[in-house]
Parts: sequence; structure tokens; C-alpha cells
Amino acid sequence: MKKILLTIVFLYLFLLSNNSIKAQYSDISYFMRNTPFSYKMNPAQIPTSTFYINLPILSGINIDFKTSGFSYNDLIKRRDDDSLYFDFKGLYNSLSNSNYIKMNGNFELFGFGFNAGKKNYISFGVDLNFDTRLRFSRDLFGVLSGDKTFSNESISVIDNDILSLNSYVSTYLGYTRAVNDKLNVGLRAKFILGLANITTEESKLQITQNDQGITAQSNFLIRSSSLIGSLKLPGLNSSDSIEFDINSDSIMANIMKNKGFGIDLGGTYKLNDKMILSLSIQDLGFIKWAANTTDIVSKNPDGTYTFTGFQNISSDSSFSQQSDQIVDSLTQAFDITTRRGETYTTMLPTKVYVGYDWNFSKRHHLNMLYKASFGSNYFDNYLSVFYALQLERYLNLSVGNTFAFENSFNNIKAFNPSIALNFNLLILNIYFGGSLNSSYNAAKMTGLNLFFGINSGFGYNNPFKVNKEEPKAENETQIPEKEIEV
Amino acid sequence: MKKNIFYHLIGIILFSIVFSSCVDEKDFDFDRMTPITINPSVQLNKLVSEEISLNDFFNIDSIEGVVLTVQSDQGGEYLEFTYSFDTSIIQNIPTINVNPTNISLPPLNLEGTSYTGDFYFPDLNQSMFNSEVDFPELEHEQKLDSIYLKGGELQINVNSNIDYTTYMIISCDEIRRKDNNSSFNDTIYLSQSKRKNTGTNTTDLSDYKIIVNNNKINFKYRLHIAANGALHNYNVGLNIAINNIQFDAAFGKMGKFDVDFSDNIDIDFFKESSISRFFEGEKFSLEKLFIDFKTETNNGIPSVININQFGVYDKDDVFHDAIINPADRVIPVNPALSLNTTETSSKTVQFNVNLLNLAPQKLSFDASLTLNPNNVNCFVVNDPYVKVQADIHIPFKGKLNDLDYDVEFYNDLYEGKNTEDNYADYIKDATIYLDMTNYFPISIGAELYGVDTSGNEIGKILNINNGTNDVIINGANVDINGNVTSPSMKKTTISANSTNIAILKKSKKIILKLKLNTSATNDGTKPYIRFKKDSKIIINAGVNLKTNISINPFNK
Repeated sequence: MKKILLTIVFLYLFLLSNNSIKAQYSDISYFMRNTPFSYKMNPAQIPTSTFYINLPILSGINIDFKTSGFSYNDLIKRRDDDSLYFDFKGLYNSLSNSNYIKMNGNFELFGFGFNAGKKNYISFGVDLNFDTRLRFSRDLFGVLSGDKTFSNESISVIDNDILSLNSYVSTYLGYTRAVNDKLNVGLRAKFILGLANITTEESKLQITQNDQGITAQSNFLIRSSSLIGSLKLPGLNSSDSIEFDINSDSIMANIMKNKGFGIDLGGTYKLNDKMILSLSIQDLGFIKWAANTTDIVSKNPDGTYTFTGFQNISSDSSFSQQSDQIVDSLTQAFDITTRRGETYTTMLPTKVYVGYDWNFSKRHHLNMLYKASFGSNYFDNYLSVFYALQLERYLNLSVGNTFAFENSFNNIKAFNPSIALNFNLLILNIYFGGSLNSSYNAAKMTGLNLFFGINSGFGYNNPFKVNKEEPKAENETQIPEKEIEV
Repeated sequence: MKKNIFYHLIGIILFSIVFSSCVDEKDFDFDRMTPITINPSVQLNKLVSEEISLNDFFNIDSIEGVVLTVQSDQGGEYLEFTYSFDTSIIQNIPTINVNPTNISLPPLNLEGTSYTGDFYFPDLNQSMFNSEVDFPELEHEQKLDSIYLKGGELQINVNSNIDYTTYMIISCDEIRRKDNNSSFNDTIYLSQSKRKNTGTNTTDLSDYKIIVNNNKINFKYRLHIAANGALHNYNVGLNIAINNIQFDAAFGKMGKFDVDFSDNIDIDFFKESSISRFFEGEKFSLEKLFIDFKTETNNGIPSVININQFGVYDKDDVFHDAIINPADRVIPVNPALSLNTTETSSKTVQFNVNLLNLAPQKLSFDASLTLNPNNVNCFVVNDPYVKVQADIHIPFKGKLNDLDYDVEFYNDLYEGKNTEDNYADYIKDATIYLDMTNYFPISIGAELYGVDTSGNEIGKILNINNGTNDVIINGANVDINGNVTSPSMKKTTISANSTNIAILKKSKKIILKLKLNTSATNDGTKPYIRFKKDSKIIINAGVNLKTNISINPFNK
């Protein structure tokens, strides 16, 4: 029993660390040309600095935490006397049929970019990305709250795609070109080294009751890969303990095994001197996982056990003996183990951005952004509206709201405010901001995004500056040193 | 321009205030976190499928000292318990000691004569001499006609001063061979030594029988002298002894005498078994109870057993006689008709069945065996016995009338126990669904009460059928003879809500009160039920368990 619990705990801990990779930047930073995030979301959006350099870690920290729609307050509530309590019933009622908790982050390790002539911009960088996601069943909390029983209905204790984890280092090279005075295009090529991955092909533990009895069915196939070692589950009947074999010698040998490739494509088009329309496709690519691949699998795929009740209890077949037999049968049906896995490939979570920037007043902008995020089993849509105050490169403030339509989870949230601020103090460019999901109240929010960074930038590229033809430098983007209006 | 910047900064500050004010620290004050309560519910439609037979209640096949058989009568088959005990009466056999007899033959004065050849005394043309040996008188006016010997010896010793080779010829018609009825004959050679002539013969009597004629045994004898010359005066003495007589059987008048016997036998069945509780209070009655007295003897003596008392002692050690009819107190014992055979007899005596309701602790009897009450000719064997066996038959046909059966036991879920976990704390409410088919002709009603430390009942722990009635299952349908004709079926719910569970936790003890009734026919008559071993209750049980589990990970 202890081993079963340990295994369950292990699986859930495993869940906390995800396949459907959705490393993403705060949408509000899409229009903040002073930040590296804007350029990363659309490689056609030329940074405002004619030259920038990103410092390790400091230049880009982007943390994103999100639930499928439930908040802290759905689980933990406060009474009139300010005491707190867990409300599993409230959480159960707030959950959809499929739910997740996810966390992802992006850390800039190094990068720089510069104008190469008047029409070209070249960038290079290395960043670290991680994504985790735990999916869990609504039924599980229904059982805990007492709203879900094992009466004549199925209970999904564990849903499909219970866990995914992805961690990788991306090295990119970007190129942006001002095709003409209205159109910019960009391409960023990414060479990816995978660090660790957990991909759930199938995870199912379902309990169904009918006239014959109560039937449990399970099937697990979880693929994993790691540079540093591999997991070993000996099985529920084994006296051996769960181990994670770390082989430091193999790290260097494996470091190039998890290779991947991706590209970002983008374009901006100046509709007029007040409006820019942009489009980008981010993270079109894959990672092929080959290092220390290990599969966590059911020993008996789609194993079932039907409990038909204790029968004919006698001295030869006591309650205790029958209980032991049930445990043995359950163990045999649902035992999991690890095996050497095969090489597998995961796709990068692709996003498509469509942006609209209207400089409706001298320093005031209205931004609209549509984002589509899609993968093998989801297609989510986000529509954002931001107001931005831009005092050239010295101060940028943007506030707005995002309407989220996460189709894969039937999760529609209209209120997701964002704010971002950027100061440029000579060569130091400071930017921070974030967004909240669902509510200002921290206890009721369903997600949080924070970003922060400092980099060094030199020069200024005004995105609304029309690339006027000059006799001596035809077709080059005009990038003035300074255009400061006081 | 400065003004614009000021406004913008004010806006930023206001936005930040709004933003920061949205974090209420009280929402995250985990020091005020109360224990986490979860309420998992489990509903299992098939928790138990079970068949419970009579043997699961009490193992009627292995009740110590009791034999279970299947009997039948005009109403059908029924089970019968038989409790047996026996006693053997060994009567004393007569001891027979025959005194030795010395006989002197008349003097043989032959001095001065001479003879060569066989000389007989008395002469062959005369009758042999005859001497009587006395056979002893026996006690109790016993007078033997004959005895068949299995041991003993006849020793005849002859002495004389005859100086020639001499023989003593002896015969006895009272001593005959058992195989051919031939009379005893013997010739004793007298060896000569220094003018003495003696001879002794010893005969094993195990092949003989003795016919006793007026307590006398007659021996006939004649002297044979092989003379060869001068003769003298001779004296001849004869000694006859019958020693160590052992007999297979003795025939004759054996006399009339009594042998008393009695015993007290513990009835463990009632002493130790909880079954006795069924019999107390006259709520359980059996149709009848009777005793078969069986006798067996190898003795040829007619006899009779007189039962002075036969009954039981109750818990207060008061004796209750069980025999209703005085005529049943005399039990004849048929004698064996011939040697090496046995003869049996039996008599059925009705027992007062109501005595079972006294939960009898001891069976007691006092009786006497009267041998040869009419003083007739008969025989007694060397190892006589009279075996008396009493088989108490209890036909398992009975009826229960509101038999209350209480079981009290300590409550493991009592909150006063110093246990780490009290599982009752985890139960919010529970309902057991019973779908039963009853082939057992007894209806079962049940109530479960909690008892506090003062011994007071403090309430029900379970609700049967939502409190509408306490009958869990009705008895199977029966005919007038008490045979099950069809099972009864019922769906019963047994539930415990939070009130019941609170009572459970406060109960140091729990009392299970059962009310049992045997089935009645359609017209309401309650026949004596013929209980069957294979009677069973088929139970399909499901459960709906709602738990209430509190955990305190914040360890306040």
C-alpha cells in the first residue's frame, strides 16, 4: 500500500514539472518595442535600439502561471471570522471536465542585436525555456467533496495527458529586413537543445460501476527524456525502491542528442503613418528527444479489474484473504513500470499573432492583438486591447485587457488586465509588467504573468517613422540616432 | 508637457494603488487555516454476495457429544439431535470351591494267599466302589444344575502298600466331556517303591462340564493288581480334589437379587453453548423429546430395570423428573438365549420436553437392575454384563415466538478509548442496502443500541428501513408441517446518520437486540418448523458511505 501511495505521489509530483509547450510572453509586451519580448514575438518588429545587448538572466525573466479557470479562492475561502478553510465542493463546482495548472518561464541567457545597414536588423541570442502542466480530473475533487460517488456513472480519477514537462535551451539567429517603406519581414531560426521532457501519450484511471460490479481500468504511457539520467520504477510488487539514476558522465555525451529546430516568421505593414498591422508565427518547429528516453508504462495495458463484491466468506476464504486477493489483482492490473524508451518528437507550441497598432494621438496608441495558440489537442484564442502611452524611448506605459477563449478547456474569461512599463535611462533599458487573469483580487485570479528585464540599448528606431527614400541610401531603413521631442 | 507627465504619473500611481489593494493578506493568512475536511463518498452496489446457512450460525454438525441425523415422518424429513449415554452393570459371579475328599477303600486282607495274574478289587463282576464329593452351596439360593468349565483341575491321588504293579480305574458320570458328552474315565498307575505304591493323575477340566446332582459328584473306582505270587494284607487310600474351578457358564437357579446403579452427567451442550439462551424464557419450544432405552446382555438371567428417578438439574440445582408416565419407569432386559450370544431390548420413553426451557445443567438417573425376579432356571456366564444405553432424541422441529436475543459487546469506536484513530470520526453517514432471499424459516428483527459508561441505553446506532420497522428479513414461507415451501425476499436499508454516529462514539458498549420468529402458514398457524441444514439466506449487500475526514496539515 505504501508503495502504491508513493507511486501516486510520485506521479503527481511528476505532473508538476509538462508536452504541450506554451512558453509565452505577456501579450502586452508585443507592442513594447523597447523590450526584447516584442521582437521575440514578431521577428519583423525591429527593436527600437539600433544596438542592444541582453545581459544574462537580467535581461529577460518571464514567468507565467495559469489555471484552467479556477482560482485560489475557489479552493480556499475565508469565513466571516477571517479563518480560512478548504472548500472542495466550491472547487469542484468551478472546475470544468478537464483542468490544468501550468507554469512556464523564459529566461534570457544572452543576446544582442543591431542594425545592419538601414534596412536590416540582425539578432542573436540564447534563452532557457521551461513549461510544466498538470492536468487533473474534476471527478477527483468531486470524490473528495462527496459530490461524486461511485454510483452508476464513470469517474475519471486521472484524465488523459496528466503531465507534461518541457525544458530546453534555444539558440536563435534573427534577421529582419525593411522591404520597403511600409513592409518589414523577419525570420528567426532556432537551434534547440532539449534538457528534459515528459510527454504523456496516455494516462487513464477510470472507475465505472454497473450491475456486475465496480470496474477500474487504467493505462499509462508516459514518455520521458532527460540529459542527466533516467527514472526507474521497479513495480508495486517489488521490494526495490523508486530510483532516478543520475549519470553525470553521460551528460556531455547526451547534450547533443535532444536536438530541435524552430523558426519564427513575421511581418509588419504600415497602413499609414498612424497604423501598423503585424503578423507573426512563433515557434514553428520540433524537438527530437533521444537522451535517456524512458517510458513509464502499464505492465498490463488497459488492465481492468472488476470488484464483484465479497463472496462466500468462509474460513477457507475469509474477508481478509479476499481483501488480499483484491489488492493482488489490483496490483497486477494497474502496476506500472519503466522501460527503455524510443526516440520521440514533440512539436513546439505554435502561436500566431495578428497585431494592430494605432497611434491615434501624438503619444497615445491603441493596440489590438489577436493570438491563436494551437497544438495537437488544443486551439486557444486571445483577443487583447491595450492603451499605450509612449514618450519615445524614455517612457512607455501600456494597460489593457485580454479576452481569453480557451476552446480546449471551454474556458472563457473576459477580464484579464495587463500593465507594462518601460523606462529608458540612457543606456539602461528597464521594463517590467504583467497581467492578471479574471480578477484584480489575488485570491480570485486564475493566472498571473510577470516579466522583468534590464538591457542596454543604443540608438532609436521609430517604428512609425516612414522610411523615406534618400538619394544616397536607397531602400534602406532610416534609423535616426535620436528623435526626441520634448 | 510637464503637466502631461504629471498626469501620467498620477495615473500610474493610482493604477498601482488599485493593483496593490487587490491583495488581501487575510486571504493568505494560513495561521488561521482550519483543518481540511474532505467528504469522499463511496457507493458500491455490490459489496458482498454471501450465502449464510444454518451452520454459519452454529455448527450443528460438530456439537460435542451430539449426533445429528436426518429422520423422516409423515410430515417429511427433519433433523434430529441424539445425545447418548450408557452404563454397564457387571454382576458378581459365584465362586465355586470344592473341598477335597479322602476316601479309604475297604481293607484287602490277602495274607497267606498267592495269585498270579490280574486281580481286580472289587471283582469285575461286581459294581465299582462309589464315593460322593460334595458340591458347595451358593449364595442367594442359587442352585446349580451344571457348569461348563473353562478351567480347573481334577487331581486324584492313590496310595497303597501293594507290592505289585497296580492301577486305579476311576470314572465319573457327573464329569463329562463338553464335546461328546462322554463320562470322565481315568486309570492311575501306582508306582512301587519300598513297599509303598503311589500314583497321581491330574486332569485339566477345561474340556469338561460338571453336572451337579443334588450338590453331589459321584466317583466310581476299581483297583487292578498285576499279582505274581504271594499276597498280603493291603490298605488303599484315595484323595480326590477339584481345584481352581473356572466356568464359562453355570446353569441352574440363579436366585433373585438387585444391583443398584446411578450417575450424574454434565450437559455441556447447555452449559457452554450460547444455544441454551434460545431455550430459556419459553420463547423457543420443541415439538417433542424422547428417550430410547436400549439394553444388551450376554447373561441368561432374565432381569428388569426399575428407574427410580430420571431427570435433570436446572441452574439452581433443582431436580426435575423427566418421565411422565410411571409405566415407563420399568424397562425389561431380555436374557441371552444361549451361550455366547447376546440379547437386546428397547423401550421408548417420552420425555418432558419443557424441561429444555430450564436450560438443564445435569442429567441424573437412579435405577436398579433386578436379576431373575421370578427365580427361574437360567444361566450365568463367566463375564456377565447388562449394558444400558439411553439415547435422548431431540427432533429439530421447533418454533420461536418473539425470541429476544441480545448480544452485548464493547465498542471499538468509543471515543473514550485511547486510540490514535477513531474511524467513526471519518463517517458522516452510511447506508447498507440489503437485497435478501431467505430460505430460512425465521424472521429476523434487529436493533442496535449504544450503552454509556453507566450502562444506560443512549439511543439507536442504526436505523432499519428508515425506522418504519425493525424486520430485516421475513421468514421463508412454510406449510402446516413446518416445511419450507418458498423463500421470502426483501430489500432492507440499514442506515446511520450523524446523530447515530454521535451515539456510537459515546457508547462504551453496543447491544444488538434480535427478535426472532419462526414462520407461520397463510392462516397464521405457527407449525413446528423443520429446520434444515441447507437452509440459507442469500444476501447481496451494497453500501453508500459518506465520509467526513479532517486533516490538519498546518498542525495548529
